[in-house]
Amino acid sequence: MADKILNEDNSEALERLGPVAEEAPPVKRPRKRRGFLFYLSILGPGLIAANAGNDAGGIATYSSMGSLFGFQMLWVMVIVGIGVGVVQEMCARMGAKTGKGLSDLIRENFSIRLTTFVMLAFLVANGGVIVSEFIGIAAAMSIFGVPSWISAPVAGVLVWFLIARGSYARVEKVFLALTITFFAYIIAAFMAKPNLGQVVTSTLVPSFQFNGLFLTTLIAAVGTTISPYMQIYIQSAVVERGVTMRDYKYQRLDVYVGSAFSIGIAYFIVVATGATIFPATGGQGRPLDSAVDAAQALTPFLGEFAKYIFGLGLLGASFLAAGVLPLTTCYSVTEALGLENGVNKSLKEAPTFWGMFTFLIVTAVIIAMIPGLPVVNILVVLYLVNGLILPIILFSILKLINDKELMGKYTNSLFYNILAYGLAGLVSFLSISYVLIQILGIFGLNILG
Amino acid sequence: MALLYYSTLASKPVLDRHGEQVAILKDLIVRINPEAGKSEEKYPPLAGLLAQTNRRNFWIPASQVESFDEKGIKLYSALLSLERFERRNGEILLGKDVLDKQLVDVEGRRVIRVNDLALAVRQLPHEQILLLVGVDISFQAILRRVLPGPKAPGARAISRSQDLLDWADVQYFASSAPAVQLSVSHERLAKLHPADIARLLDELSYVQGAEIVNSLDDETAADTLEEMDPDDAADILEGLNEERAADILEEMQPDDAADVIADLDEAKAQTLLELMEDEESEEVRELLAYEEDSAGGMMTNDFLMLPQNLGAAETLQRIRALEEQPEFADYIYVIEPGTETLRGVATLRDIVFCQPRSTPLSELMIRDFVSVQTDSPAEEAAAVLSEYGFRALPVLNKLGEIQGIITFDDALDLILPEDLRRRIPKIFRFHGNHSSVGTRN
Repeated sequence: MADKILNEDNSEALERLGPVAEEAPPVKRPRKRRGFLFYLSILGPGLIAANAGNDAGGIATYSSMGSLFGFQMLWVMVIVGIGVGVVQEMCARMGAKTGKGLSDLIRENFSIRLTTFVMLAFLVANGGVIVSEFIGIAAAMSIFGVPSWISAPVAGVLVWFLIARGSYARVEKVFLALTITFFAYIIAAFMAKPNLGQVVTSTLVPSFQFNGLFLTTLIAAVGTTISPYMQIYIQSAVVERGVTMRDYKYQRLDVYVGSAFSIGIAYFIVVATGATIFPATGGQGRPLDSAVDAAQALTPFLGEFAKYIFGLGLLGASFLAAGVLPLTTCYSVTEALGLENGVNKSLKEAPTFWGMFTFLIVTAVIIAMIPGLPVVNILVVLYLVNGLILPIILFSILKLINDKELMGKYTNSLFYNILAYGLAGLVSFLSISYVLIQILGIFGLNILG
Repeated sequence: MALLYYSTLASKPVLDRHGEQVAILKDLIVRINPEAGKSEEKYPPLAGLLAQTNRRNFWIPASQVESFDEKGIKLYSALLSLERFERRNGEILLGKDVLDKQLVDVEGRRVIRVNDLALAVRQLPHEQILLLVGVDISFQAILRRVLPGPKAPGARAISRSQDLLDWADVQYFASSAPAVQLSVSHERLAKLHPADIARLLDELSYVQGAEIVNSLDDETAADTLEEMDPDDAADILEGLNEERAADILEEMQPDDAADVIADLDEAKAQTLLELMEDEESEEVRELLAYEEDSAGGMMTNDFLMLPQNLGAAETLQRIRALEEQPEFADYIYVIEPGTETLRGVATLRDIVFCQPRSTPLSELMIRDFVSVQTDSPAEEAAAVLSEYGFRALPVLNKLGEIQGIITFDDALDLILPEDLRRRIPKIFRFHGNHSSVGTRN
């Protein structure tokens, strides 16, 4: 009986239910929960993780690929794109199946020494990327005439408060929206009228140059696109949203769409710079001094406004990553080491969490404030550390995702494993080569010219 | 009772009677759920050792152990029977299944991670047994395990007593040991307030959440799920067996149950509704007809409704005669006899205290009541509730027939500003225990 109906005549109570029962009572709310709206509500982590990849370091790298080698490196974007999709999908699947974050799984399944090592490396690598985001914010603001000694501290205070007060989620969409300006690259790429046959051939047929510059650019492309922090971020975001295997197909779509979207933009950055800056050097190629240099590729489309539009996009992407990174880093490190954490804990309750969080932002702000910073050199060191840790994270992910006890029937298929192991092997090979070259370089040995 | 740490025992040599090393200790096996009948045995006793020699794992029963200390484990016998190790139900490995895993600190109402385990030897007349007595959650425990060197701190090195938790105060998850079948009692956890359990579930994975909810009685489980976000509650119901999920849904408030069911797959929702008692599933189905963010979606259809010609004394009699107590009884909704057209609202207080006892409801009720339509936006309904300070608001259809009511507690979520809601766990931090149970953001 529906209500506590206390009418004199009890049959009335039943009457009331009569018509409702006849018209085949609904099982679902009229709103289509699993339709397009539902997809939109779940859409996000993949898009944000992938888009934060088009940050200052990413744009500098993609632009360099075009300005140095024209269309020759376009095939790399295909491989890296598949790589991002595969790696992020595995993390999202682990999050949905286990309900646990990547650092939790590492802690629970690997030795404590390996966990500590990975977490320390992760802290250092992410600290570096956070620095690069604040450099990106400062660079973007300098386009609008704001000097870095003002923009960097203001950005630092803003990020700190937005996250500490838990209001970041509300502004996240604004930063995400700003990155839409990077669509300008797609239009700019077509307006530059590239030789389409050449573009298609370069995309499908790999070709190499055997010199140090080509190799380092290649590794930088891998390092900026498949960044370790993105894997940790996407998995914790999936867990946070309470995605389980029953909604997983939507999450997987989000991951693939997000990856395709961000790689698509990266691809057109290469085409645009390859079609404008590269031919201007008479096919010699020239390195870019800064991320801002990359704005030149937008000139055919946007004319004198190119650099402002570019500045907005860079600001959005850098803020997106600057907002995601410190929190992701502090959460995963403190979580793995069993320390108190959370933005709703006080400083006294979670001193390490807050200390680490503040330290990361303050350090990044101070470095970004230094005038006349050797930006490129700093980025090189950052990718070195990221390059070192990436194979460790990739192989950790592969070991976990193929663990039957953990994943049950959701382990990788053979095809997926071939793809993933191939990628991990390739990335490791590149990273190790890179590190070796860097180390030998310190001793004055130059391999590959 | 001196404490031994698991981390100081692991990888230590296993010695025979003559002090010769025969193997390396790989892990310790304990019986997780000692018989409830055995009085004060709240600590899991050691069942055996997992030792390794020549790259082979084998099992040594606890009865063979003569002594434990940080230098190694000494056995009674000189001869080892190399019994192959096999997992047995009810037994867990400390290193593999407990160390580094998550537990619930029931006393502190928080989720913790095991950094080390404390063991104690109990001397009995003829034997000694090793018991798992505590969980070390200090950061020193991590340093002790990570840094090389024999500087293993003893019990006194634990700076704060809250870093060493009594095993009896923590809750272990059977899902941490997927290799074996365990029946873990969640008795202590079940005694917490459902709101506390809900917050703990929020911090745990949905697998662990389902395990906890499975162990609660239907009523507590229902109260807990009501406190949770409907989507998270739906995740947990997915993990339960269907009969059980239906039983819990029956116990829930129909409006909360409808919110949870709306978040399930269509097929699953259909199955669960069919498994529920007709009466309860009918209530839920009625509510499912309304959109979630409308007044209809927020209302409950569990309320008191009486014809206006009824006298006060008879009214009270009928209310008392109800089989199930209604969740909300502050207001009585007065209808035209034989219809469901709402004529007025009477407070229970007025009915109880009125003189003479035969006064009909039509004279006790307030005629110019405030109401909303089923398709009014939920926010509007919440705003009306808070503006007039009512405890509940009737929801009518186009014909003026009452369909349900919105109670203030359901509207609270919409009235409280988001910032405040987020901070509530922090505001109540100092109540009860030393530690807060924060939600993860």
